[in-house]
Amino acid sequence: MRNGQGYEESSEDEDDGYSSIDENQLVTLSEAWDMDDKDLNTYEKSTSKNNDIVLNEDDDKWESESEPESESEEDDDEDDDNSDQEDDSEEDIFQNDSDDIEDEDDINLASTVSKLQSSLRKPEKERRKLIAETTEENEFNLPTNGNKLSLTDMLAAVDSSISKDAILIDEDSKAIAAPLPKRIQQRHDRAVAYEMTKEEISKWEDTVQKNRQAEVLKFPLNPKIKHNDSATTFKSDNIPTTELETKINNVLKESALIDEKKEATFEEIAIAKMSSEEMQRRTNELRLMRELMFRDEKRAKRIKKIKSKQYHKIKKKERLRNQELVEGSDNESEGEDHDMKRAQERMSLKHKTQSNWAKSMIKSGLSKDASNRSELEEMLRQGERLRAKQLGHEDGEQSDDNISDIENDYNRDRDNNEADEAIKNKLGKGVLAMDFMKKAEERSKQENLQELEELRRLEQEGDLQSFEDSTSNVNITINQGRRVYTPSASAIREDIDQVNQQVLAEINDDQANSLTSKLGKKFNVVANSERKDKTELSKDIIVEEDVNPWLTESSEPSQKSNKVTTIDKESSKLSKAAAKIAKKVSKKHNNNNNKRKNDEDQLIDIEETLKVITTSRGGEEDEEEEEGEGIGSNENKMFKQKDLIKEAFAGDDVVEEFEIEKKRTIRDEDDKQEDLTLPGWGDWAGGSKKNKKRKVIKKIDGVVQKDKRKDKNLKNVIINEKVNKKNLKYQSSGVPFPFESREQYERSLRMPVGQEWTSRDTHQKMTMPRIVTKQGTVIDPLKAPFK
Amino acid sequence: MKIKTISRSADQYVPVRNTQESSLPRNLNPALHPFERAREYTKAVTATKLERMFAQPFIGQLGDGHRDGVYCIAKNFGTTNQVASGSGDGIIKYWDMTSRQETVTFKAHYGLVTGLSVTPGKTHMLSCGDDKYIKLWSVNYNEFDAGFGEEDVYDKKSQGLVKTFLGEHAFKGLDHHFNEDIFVTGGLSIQLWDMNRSKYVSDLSWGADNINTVKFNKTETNIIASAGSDNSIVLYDIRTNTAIQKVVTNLRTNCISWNPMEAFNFASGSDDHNAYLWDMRNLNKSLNVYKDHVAGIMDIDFSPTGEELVTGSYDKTIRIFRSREGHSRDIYHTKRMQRIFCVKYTTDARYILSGSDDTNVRIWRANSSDRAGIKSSRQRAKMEYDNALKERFKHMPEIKRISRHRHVPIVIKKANEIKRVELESLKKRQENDRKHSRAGSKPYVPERQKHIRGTAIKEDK
Repeated sequence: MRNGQGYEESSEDEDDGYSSIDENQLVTLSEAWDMDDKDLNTYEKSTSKNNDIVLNEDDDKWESESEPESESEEDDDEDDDNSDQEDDSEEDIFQNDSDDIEDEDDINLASTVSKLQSSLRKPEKERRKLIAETTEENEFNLPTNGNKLSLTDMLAAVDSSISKDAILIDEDSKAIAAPLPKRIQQRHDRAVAYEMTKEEISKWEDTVQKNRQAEVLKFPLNPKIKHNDSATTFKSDNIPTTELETKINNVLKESALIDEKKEATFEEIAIAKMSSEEMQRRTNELRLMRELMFRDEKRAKRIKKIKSKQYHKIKKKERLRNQELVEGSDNESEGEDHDMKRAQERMSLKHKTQSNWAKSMIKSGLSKDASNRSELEEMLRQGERLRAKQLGHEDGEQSDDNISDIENDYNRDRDNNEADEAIKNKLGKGVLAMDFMKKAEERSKQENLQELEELRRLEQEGDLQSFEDSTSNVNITINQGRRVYTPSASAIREDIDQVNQQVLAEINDDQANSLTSKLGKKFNVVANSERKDKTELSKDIIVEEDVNPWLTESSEPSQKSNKVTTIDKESSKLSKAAAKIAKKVSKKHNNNNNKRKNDEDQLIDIEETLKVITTSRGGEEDEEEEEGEGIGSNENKMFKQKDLIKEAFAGDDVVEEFEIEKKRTIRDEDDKQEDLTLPGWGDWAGGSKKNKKRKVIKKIDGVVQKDKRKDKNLKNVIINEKVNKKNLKYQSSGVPFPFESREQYERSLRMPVGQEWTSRDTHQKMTMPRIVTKQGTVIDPLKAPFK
Repeated sequence: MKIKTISRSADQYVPVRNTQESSLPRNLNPALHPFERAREYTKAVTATKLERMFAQPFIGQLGDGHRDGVYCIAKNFGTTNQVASGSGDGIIKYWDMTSRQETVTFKAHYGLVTGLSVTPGKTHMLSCGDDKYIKLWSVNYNEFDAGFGEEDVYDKKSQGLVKTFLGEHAFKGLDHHFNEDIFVTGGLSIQLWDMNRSKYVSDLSWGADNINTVKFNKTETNIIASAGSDNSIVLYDIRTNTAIQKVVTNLRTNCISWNPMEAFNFASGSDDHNAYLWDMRNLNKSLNVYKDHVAGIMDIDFSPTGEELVTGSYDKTIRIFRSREGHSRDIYHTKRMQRIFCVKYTTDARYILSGSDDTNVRIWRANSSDRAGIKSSRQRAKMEYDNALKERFKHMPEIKRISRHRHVPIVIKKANEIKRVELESLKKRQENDRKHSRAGSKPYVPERQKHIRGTAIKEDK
């Protein structure tokens, strides 16, 4: 390819037509060598130099073009290249420059050649001589006709101006260092390339680490977000598609019913005119209105629902009053009129004869009947009485004689009871005549009476006992047939009790003046305590019966005694002394108490007795030392208990037993040796009593050797070293790999993951698999987030 | 007194739709759920047993397979259900996994099909063979008359053939760039081809020996790894157009697979029965050693999730490894399956394909007890709970025993035993050597470095 190009170049040059030398005159070097001397003279000057350059140019071209493509081939014929390379590198310099300034230099070159010619010819003309060629003509030895062309000759002909541009003459230029051998060069290349690649690929590090540490990886990692195009997001284009649609559209358009522009503009204007603040205000206003309306409506509904007549009455009154206020308080005198009016109204309203029964009576003319008439009259009278009562209340005289009023009522009731009954019976079978109504009435009446009586008694005697009793039963009476479990109920009860007690105390204080009351009180209290003590005693007895005699020590009294039992032999003298003093004091106290008790009909104070017990228990030994008399009964008790315990554990030498047991287990679990030598085996008859040398001994491995026991140096412990094979199944043989310690592993198993033990969220989080893939979805290789 | 009654609205427990499950209210009173550890342990044991009971790894084979051993499988990275396979008699087939039938068949080469790859984007596949040809095939069977059977393949050779590249030597191994029109071939030299040129673009060879497999990195897409007959693994970068690093191992590396989730990691399967995980930035040691096979590993493939590896071996078994563990979590084998030459995960990481000497392409489940059917949410929750329990109690002896238990062909069991004895004796011998030589003169070599002879570019340690 390259050679071909080189050949073609001559014709190309013709077209260019820039050379001063006739191309046809050019002769290759080989031709030149073949030529005669005569011919040579004519051609010599041109060929000798020019051809060289042409050739060189060709060579260079070949090289420069081949370089990019021949890389792969270079590898194959590396050796050839290497030999060529050195020549190439020398010529390269020349070639580069000649390429650059080719156009100019070709002309210059021509001129220099002509100059050279002229300069070379001159000596030829001056003297001619015959030159005999002694050497044979070959490729190493050219016929020069005695004229030797040296570089200096050629340099002399060169213009100084031109020489500036010539590279060859540049004296400062240095030779470029020879390139490294290809193998070494490639090695360097690879090393650098490897570093670069490593750097490049290390950019993935973060991503990879993140993915490795992720608790959950969902594949595909970056799923495409799919938008679900629902009907709401679907926007219809207002272009009619079907025939019907187009028809209708046309009709609408023709009749000018459809004018999209107008509609659109109207809306746009309405919105556009308003500023955002204005808009805000308007919406706020609207909202407020709506809210108010809504509330009003609600209120109206609520009021409408109320059925109470009284409420409506009050409402009406209010309304009227308001109206009056609005109308103005012009007539002051109207007040009386108003009263009158109201009275009339009430009268008419309270008209007894307006009841259904009365109406019917009147209607049927039965009112003229004597009995009926009297009944009607009675009704009227009753109404009148009630009215009177009402008026009395209205006057605001809620005086002390309220009670008396009620009493009166009841007194009257009692009197009128029979009459009432009679009336009721006569009234017929209404609701009031029914049994339960009657009963209820009876009950309420009874209650009222009771209350009344109580109050009366209170007034007379000032005895609050009964009151107390009644109040203490409050809860019980309220919750008939029900037990009260709630703490609140009992708390309430306690509160009530407290209050009652306070009240009682106050009352007592008030009555303290009178001796009789004092006496009474004392008596009362004593009686109370007596009663209490009795119950307590009985309880105690029961307890004593129930409790195991071995356990009496740990029951109530001992608990209290614990406070005192801190004094031992080891305790300090000071504390001992203090204890002694305390004991003496208590004894004295005790004696006093005893006396007092004897005086006071031997009333026993529980606390006091307890104290005695505790103190007596506190320092048995000291007491025994100091006072032989002691407190007889109590001491006896203690001795008894001790004896009992002793008796119970008599002959129990626990420690020794334990030692024996330990020895036994050590022996049992140790390795054993069994002598399997058969007596008489291998002996001559009449067994000699010599000890045999060869004993057959079988060693049986025990659980653990004597010296290797864990409890070897532990005194009071036997450690079981038998391996339970059933447990083995549930034990991991060692700490498994990712865990570093046993504790860590155990911790990982501690919290259960099941739904029964955790919340749903935790459960789901803990059971989430690390890798989640989606079926039928391609998992693409990781895509770099940094690219 | 105000009485609080237990009241439940029907809205809470009556399902809205009849397809929805009714919810079961739970009582979380701890008194009602005692012995939580014991109960969960029992559940874990049961779950493990059930997993083993339901383990059915084999699904079926693709069509009727080939007429000769299957030596290469290539997956279409764009879909989940399409793969190509090439066999020893020069036939390549393109399969639809859903119907398990072949869609097209070509008589591609004379002799072995040594490399196969499905191009991204357009559905073409590239094949290379011992006959010095690389051929580009169209798998859009609508474009040509696809209605031919296997008998016709031998007559209508040119159908579906899009392009042919003529090489200078027989090819071994071919892989396509993940998204550009470039592919690389192995053989006497490793060459980079442009789809639009008839000659290769560049020759990346380093060293004189044959290249057996070439693999493009699927994430950092300009990096290639190759394994050669000179026991070397070589890395190349097509941006700088050079080889970059070479590591020489004790025995030949048969296969390479890049981790699709970790750009710098790749795994290699070696003739020394082990697979290795490498970090391409430091080849002085491998990151992990996967042991268990009893013969050379012929093919290895990373799961698309990057969490698992599948290896096919000359010992007629497939093993699945977790990428961070050293021993396989499962072993697949059948009586009829012969030497395995290619294994691949499907692109959804649910199935495994294997091609073996017995001319069949088999489909396996990646998780042997998995089922593909749609699961109700309760079923799924149960499964997840079971898996969590299994994971939690996996170190308990009973569960460990059950979950590890596999029936293995007697040949492999025997081979395993023999191998163990051999290794032990070797170890013993080395230990003796060490004992009787100057201290420190025979240092311990970590297992992860034992197989490495050296690297071309020394790392600064």
